[in-house]
Amino acid sequence: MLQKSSAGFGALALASLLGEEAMTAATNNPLASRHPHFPAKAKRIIFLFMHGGVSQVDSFDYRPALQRDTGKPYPGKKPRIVSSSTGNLVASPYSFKQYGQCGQWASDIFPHIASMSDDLCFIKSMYGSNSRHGSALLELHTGSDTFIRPSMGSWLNYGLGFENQNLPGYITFKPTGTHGGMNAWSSAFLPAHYHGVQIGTNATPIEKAKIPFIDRNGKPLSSQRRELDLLAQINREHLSERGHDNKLEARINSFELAFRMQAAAPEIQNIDNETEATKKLYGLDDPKTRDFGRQCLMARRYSEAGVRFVQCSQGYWDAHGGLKNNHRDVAGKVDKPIAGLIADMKARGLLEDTLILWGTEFGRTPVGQGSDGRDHNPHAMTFFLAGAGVKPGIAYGSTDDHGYYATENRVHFHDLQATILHLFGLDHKRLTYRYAGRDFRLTDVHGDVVNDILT
Amino acid sequence: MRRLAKAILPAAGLLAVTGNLTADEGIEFFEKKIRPVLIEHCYKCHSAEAEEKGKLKGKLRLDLREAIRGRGESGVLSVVPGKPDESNLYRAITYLDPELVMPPKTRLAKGVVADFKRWIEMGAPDPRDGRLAKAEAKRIDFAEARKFWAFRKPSEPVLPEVRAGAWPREDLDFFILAQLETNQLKPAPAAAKRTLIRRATYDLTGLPPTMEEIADFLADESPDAFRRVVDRLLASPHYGEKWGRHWLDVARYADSNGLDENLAYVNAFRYRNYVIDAFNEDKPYDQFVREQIAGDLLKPSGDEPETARHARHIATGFLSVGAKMLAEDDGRKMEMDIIDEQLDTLGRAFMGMTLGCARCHDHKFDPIPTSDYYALAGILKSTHTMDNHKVVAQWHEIEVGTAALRAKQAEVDKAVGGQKKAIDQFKAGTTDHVLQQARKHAADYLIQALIQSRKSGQIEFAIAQLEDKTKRDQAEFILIEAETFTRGNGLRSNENYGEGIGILISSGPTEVEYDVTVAKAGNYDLHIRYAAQMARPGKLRVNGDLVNKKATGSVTGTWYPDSQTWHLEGTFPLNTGKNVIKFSWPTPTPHIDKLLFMPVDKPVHGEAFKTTHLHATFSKQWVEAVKQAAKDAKSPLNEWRAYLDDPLKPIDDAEIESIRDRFAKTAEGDPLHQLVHKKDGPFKMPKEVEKLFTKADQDKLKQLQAKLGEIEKTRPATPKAMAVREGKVQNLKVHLRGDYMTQGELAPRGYLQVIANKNASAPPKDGSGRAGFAKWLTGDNPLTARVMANRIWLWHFGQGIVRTPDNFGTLGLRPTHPELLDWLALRFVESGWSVKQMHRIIMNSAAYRMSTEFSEQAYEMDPDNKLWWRFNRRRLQAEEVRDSLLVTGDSIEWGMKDQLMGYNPRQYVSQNDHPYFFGSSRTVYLPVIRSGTFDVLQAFDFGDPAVIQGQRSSTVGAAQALFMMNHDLVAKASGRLAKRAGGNPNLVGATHQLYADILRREPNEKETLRAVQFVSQALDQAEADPPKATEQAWLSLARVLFSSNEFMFLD
Repeated sequence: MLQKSSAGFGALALASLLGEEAMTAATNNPLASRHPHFPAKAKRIIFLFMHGGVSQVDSFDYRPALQRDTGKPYPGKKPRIVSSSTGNLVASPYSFKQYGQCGQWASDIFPHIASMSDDLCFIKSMYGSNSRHGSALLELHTGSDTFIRPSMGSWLNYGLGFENQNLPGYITFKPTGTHGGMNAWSSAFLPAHYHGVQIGTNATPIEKAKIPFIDRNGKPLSSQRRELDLLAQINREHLSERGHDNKLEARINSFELAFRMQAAAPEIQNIDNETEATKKLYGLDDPKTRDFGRQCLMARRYSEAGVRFVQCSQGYWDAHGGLKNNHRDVAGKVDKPIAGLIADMKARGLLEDTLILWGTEFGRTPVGQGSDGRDHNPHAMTFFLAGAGVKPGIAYGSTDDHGYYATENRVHFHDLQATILHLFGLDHKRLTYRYAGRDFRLTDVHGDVVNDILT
Repeated sequence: MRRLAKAILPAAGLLAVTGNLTADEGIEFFEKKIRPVLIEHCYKCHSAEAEEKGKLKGKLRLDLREAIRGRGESGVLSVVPGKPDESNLYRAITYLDPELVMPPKTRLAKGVVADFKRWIEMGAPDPRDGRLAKAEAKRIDFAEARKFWAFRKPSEPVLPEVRAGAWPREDLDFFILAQLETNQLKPAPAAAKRTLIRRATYDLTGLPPTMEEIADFLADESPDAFRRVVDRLLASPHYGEKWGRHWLDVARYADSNGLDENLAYVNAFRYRNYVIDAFNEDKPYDQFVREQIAGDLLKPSGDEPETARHARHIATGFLSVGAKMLAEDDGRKMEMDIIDEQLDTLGRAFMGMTLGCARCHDHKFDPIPTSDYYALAGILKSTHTMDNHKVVAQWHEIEVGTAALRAKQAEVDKAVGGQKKAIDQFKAGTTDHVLQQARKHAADYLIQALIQSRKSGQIEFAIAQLEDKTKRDQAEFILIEAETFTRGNGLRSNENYGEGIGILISSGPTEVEYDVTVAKAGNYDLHIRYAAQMARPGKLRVNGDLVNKKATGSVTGTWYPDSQTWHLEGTFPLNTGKNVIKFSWPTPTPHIDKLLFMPVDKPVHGEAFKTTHLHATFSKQWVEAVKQAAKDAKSPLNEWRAYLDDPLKPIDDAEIESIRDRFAKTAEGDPLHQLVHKKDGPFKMPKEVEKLFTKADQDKLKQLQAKLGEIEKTRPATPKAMAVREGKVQNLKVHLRGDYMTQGELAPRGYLQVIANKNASAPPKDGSGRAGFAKWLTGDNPLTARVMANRIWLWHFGQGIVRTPDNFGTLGLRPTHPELLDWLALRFVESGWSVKQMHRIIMNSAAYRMSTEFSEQAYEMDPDNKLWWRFNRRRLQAEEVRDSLLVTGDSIEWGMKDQLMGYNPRQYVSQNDHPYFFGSSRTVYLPVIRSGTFDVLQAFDFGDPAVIQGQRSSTVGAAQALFMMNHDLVAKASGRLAKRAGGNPNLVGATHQLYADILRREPNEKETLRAVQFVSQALDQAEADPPKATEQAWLSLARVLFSSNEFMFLD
């Protein structure tokens, strides 16, 4: 079904017709698979993005002191820049216990994920720079909270090319259109092929989410084939009258690629041949978990087919009030599907070279907004990774006693980005692109690889 | 201890503070507790070794006493002996300030932090002698820097010698030809006329030529035929739509903010249209530049219309339409980020200078020190772009109404005033009438108020009676504890809400019934005692009859017993024997304590007393007046005190008559008369007087008000535009590392030092300096004309002479033909900065008229065509694709458009399913939604409208192929043509028509044959419905032609 090799694709140079500033990667085919700087552990990544800001102290960062000191003022200094005013410490409304051999703590809203703890690598000392959704979301995805910059998925494909030439290298399911929207999956100044392909909006039911223009709208395949055959004939004649021209040739071939993509993508999106057990594993049998479960299942299928960067999104964790209900509710939508995805990937051996990343744009304050809410907090958050090249069953870094600030083994977004590129065999300092007089990097002028979490 | 330390000099402090610690012991403390930590955690980035490796952070060393007691880049002392709280190093290691944490990855152990505190308190004893080398400030050598090609003034080049002297048509051709000849290359032959007119028409208008235009040009054999084509195209209003769009790419134009909070810029379109007009008018480019930077500050010319002044001010929208983080909690950061965005755009758009690089440090490659950046930033800081920097921030807008508009507004305002007056008059007259009527019934209002006021007294009386069984026959009153209902799903509570009283309560929709046995049939009042924090009305049925749809609907205060109060919920007949009282609430019940049934028969009050002629509003006020009378001995209403004191004193017909008599006889001077006529007495009119009007009067008022609404609707809104104005004038200090928290030296407002422009005056004390900056840019500035001349060349040839059009700095590319660029820049200025004149010169050249013919030899030597051995073939741009599809099916809607978005100002926008994308105006008028650009634009490299784009990418790929195969726009355009072709029985004729429509030419024989075959084959294969199949076949063919490279590329 899928033509995985790039053989015979040389002619299909989706040529960039850019000026000198554009392509520094010297290759005729910007999509061709390329060698990394050094041997890679990961070939693909699935990023499970939790939009709105998951509270670390109500999920995986158990802080006994917070539970004890509820109602008391926070003993340290609150940040100079805050999103809203906050009150005293508020204990988590959930109960915590330890899971697995590793003894990872988790609250009772994530029982399924917690049960996979021995496969997960938690980073409890994540931090970012900005306390607003838009800026924080962009910093996580692009490394910059201020400017339009290429996103992580674009950088990876720019660095490594596409694994499957019949599919985009970067897709994002149902992303949010707010808080920067497209900028989170944009290739910005990188060549346009590396732009993330959006599949649905956060309002599209997952069953209806499709690659743009892929739907034939009821046209019979045979008549389309006839059109493309005639087109190829006309275009060949046009080309032969004009002699050599890469662009014209690339465009002729792009129709064949489109035709193949049109066949390949729906096949991946069709889950009829998945077993009932698999569907259940992802929670497709439960209305609450069905949508995100299907996102996760599609993520596995696209990833399996060689799509380098797949992102799933779920909102909306922004619990300024009513946190107890909000976090239990949203966690309930993602907990089982995520655990199912990890278990399924593991069982299929896909975790060997696929990285799973779970994260959010910022954590939340241990101090309350009202009696049942928490404000944005970029100074501490918990992420977890699983799969290719990361140590399973560990928790790295920590926050202060009340979980307000990352204090031990702090990992900034830039450090995480450097680490992800490293896992893909890319040196974040060498993966550069010249634009507007500067060599740009995903990590700007920052970032250190977190070696301690690597196998 | 600390206070002591403060009083003493550090050196002495060591002894004083530590008391029993000697100097040696202090050093020992350092060696044991401090030095190892510094070596392990700090030296990697803060030592001589780090400096050697180029890894020194924050310009701070910690490996010498002199260094650790000094200031790093932050300007704050690291260690102040004796004063840990003033020591930046100590602040950093405490991890209390998230913006200053060291070591960066992991906090030091608490004991170690305490050691540092102690050590600093000791006076920071430190044996590490040694001197810091005086850091040599790297100074930019401007004299040297000015030798760089871009900073030298353009000089008139000598036309080079060429061998093929017949080829050049314009002087510029000599520069091209000379280099070709030097490289043993020949220019491509001239393009065919058909090719040339297609190229020129798309180049200047973004549209295909019509068949007539092509025929005319082919027929015109005069030597200046092509000149005439160019002049015709330059005069077309579509010229500005094409070339204005080029500039809008540079101006990173959009109709929404795009970053975090994506708000609609509903007034941005005025800037867009200004740009289109400017190109159509051939506004001199230097003026165009000045207006966009400082249009509001330019002197008006003598008798210009108001709109000219507005246009200049609208031009400053250039500074305003960029993408901004509008929800940045750090307002000062937001402001500096917005200024940075403006500077970056200004620098690259007008000068090809990447000023943004000098925000955090001196530009690494170009002669732009941070002080220059902040000198320019000061100008923008002194400019008012934003009304505030709060979350979500508000950008500034100006009003651009004309005198005619203001006159129309005044006219409407006058009519509005007239109508309002009419309404007021009508209200006043009707009010008078209402009052006159009401006063006639003053006695009845009083009687009603007395009856009402006695109720609570009667309830108390009744309850007392019930409690005191000896006093009176109980049967007359029936008191029921609400929680003792006979049937239903209510709940009982004796705790919390029901504490001490016992109440009826429930948790969802509720129905309860009471069986009430009555000894004597008759009319009864039902009083209910309850507490409710929210209204929870329910239906009350008596023996099956609905008597109150909204019983128990009052709000009494809280849900608790102290808010329990009595409410009359209905008056109805009860039968002798059993009666069924039923309540049904759609919600939980209020908290009900008791139900009390009281007979309303004589002798309590007059049977005949009716109240239908009384207004509820006045009735309430009379009850209030009666209540007030109890507190005011002078009140004339005290005449009737006795009725309240004894709630059972009969108010029978005779009493009623006497009260009416009393009122009828009252005259001026009588306190009762005064009360009745007082403005704020019981007949006080409510604010909404119309509540008391008759239905007819209310209708009449509504009519008058509706008319007012209609008049108001005709008032034209004052148009607004995004623009800047002068702000509070101030100079900025250099922000170290771009952070406003660490400021360095003052950078007085000014311009780039590398360009010494004698004609420009420094920014004044009482103005931002924008005007001077604009003058400096367009005066004796070597960059401005070159940058624009290069852009014009690029937009014709697909590549610039400098192939990095937005970067003329060191990292940009050098011009391939420097003399040619100078020659163009000089002609540009000479022509009075006329862009249209540049088109005439360029398009008349032999270089522009070359064909795209391939040459193996030339391609081998120069694959990128840097020598211009042929013309560059180009793909249609996004707008050209859509406009061509529309125009081909005759469904384009010409004309300049205003704002097509349906959004309110500042409304949130997102995603890309906006209905106006599917309209049929030219693409340049479609709103540009940042982070949700129209899919056609996205697919065809429209690019990111958040950043300046001097040159669009031009890719081909699967997404575009899918677009041609499946997008509605292509299907519709094809469908329109197919309909026409399908109606034509002559397949050859129809094929000719289709080729003419799409490719603007006739098909050759082979093509005709193939098309006819394609269509008839499709017909043969069609199973049913021949007319539909025919149309389908033509549609297929049309889509193929639209998808062809011939359609999509310009030779």
